[in-house]
Amino acid sequence: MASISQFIKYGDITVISNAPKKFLKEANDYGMVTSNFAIKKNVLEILKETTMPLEKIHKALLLVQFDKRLLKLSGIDLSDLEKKKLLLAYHLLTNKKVLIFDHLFKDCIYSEKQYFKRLLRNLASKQKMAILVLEEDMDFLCEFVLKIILYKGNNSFQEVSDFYDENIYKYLEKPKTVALVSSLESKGYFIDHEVTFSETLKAIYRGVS
Amino acid sequence: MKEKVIEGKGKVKINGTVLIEDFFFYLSFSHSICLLGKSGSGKTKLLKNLLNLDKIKNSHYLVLAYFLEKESKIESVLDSSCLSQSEKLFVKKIGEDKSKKEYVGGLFKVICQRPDFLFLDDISKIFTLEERQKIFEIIRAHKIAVFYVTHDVEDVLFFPYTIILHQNKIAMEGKTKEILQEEKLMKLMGYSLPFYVNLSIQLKLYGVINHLCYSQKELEDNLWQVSHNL
Repeated sequence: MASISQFIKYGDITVISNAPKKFLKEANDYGMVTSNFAIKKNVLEILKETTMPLEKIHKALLLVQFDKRLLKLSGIDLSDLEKKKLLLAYHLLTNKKVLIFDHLFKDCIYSEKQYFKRLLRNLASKQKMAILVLEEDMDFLCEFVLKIILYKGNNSFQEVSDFYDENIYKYLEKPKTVALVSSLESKGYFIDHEVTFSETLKAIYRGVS
Repeated sequence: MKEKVIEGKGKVKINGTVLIEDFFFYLSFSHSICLLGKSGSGKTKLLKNLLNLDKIKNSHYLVLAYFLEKESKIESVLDSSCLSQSEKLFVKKIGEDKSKKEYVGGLFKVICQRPDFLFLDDISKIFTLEERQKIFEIIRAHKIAVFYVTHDVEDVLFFPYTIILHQNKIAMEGKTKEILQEEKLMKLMGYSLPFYVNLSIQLKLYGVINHLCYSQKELEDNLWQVSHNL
């Protein structure tokens, strides 16, 4: 059976969609960023365990956009996204070189998605970290324009190269851009196969005008 | 039956930290509301606070809540007489996904109790947009008023009235279609517009369609009308 370690590439971001549960267990050996924990200590106590000075802790919290009003809350009282931000700050403070994000973007609003997209790109390109994103938010992943590896079951993986390949949607939710263009084509319009919002907009304009 | 039924106001705090200032609300039988706020803004805590209010605990109404609890017995929902055949087919279909089965059981167990009000925590984490649309249709068909909290802007389209939380206050509220006209304000608060609303605004600027659309079907119908000069 494939292991998550074969997808770790330093200086790169890899998205794995429909990842097998085994990967979530293996991810604990690395810098796993997940909301699946229940720690009763408060946020500041958890981060002080990194033995980093307060100034560095506050910088890390700023970098991950953690709401400082929540510093005195215990880990279990945090929302899913705040838990992930806390863990991300923790791993950055303890110099983890591999970060694995367990469905980060599905908890985010638009501006947060954009921010974390830039942050992850920065961590990969400038700090040469290996970033793995376990995610199925296809509407967002289309905009991210990254390599996406799809797990199809039975130890079978496929790189997603064509978002208009209907076979991949047995495992994933179809992005709205693809659903709309496919539907318009079935009604007789000729629309270029684009996936991002802005390119789909232009393609519809060209195809309909 | 009165239009306004339960009103109240309060702060939302957790361990002394104020998450939401001066939240004022009213709930009526025909007035489902969507509260939009980012993760960590206090939405779930607000629901729990509201449930504990004396006005709600002591009211004559059946007020239930669903906070994404798991319930393994989907069969009891399928065996009950509260859902129609098509609704049962839908529940059975989404229940085939092992990651969703327990949540489906929990949610529909609450729906089948036919509460007057349902406080519903963010189900966008579990169900796809299409599934949520069907779930809200079923809830409406059973005449259950909903107070729903979510971070996903797409969900506001299923509700006639929306409240938006921003920086621990109510930043905007009103009829959903009017709220969605305030594109710049929404962006300042960190939200995009729902996909079809956003796309139709851009296409309208290009003259490809002639009015705002809120769904794929509406957009396609309008495209057809404009391209055939109807």
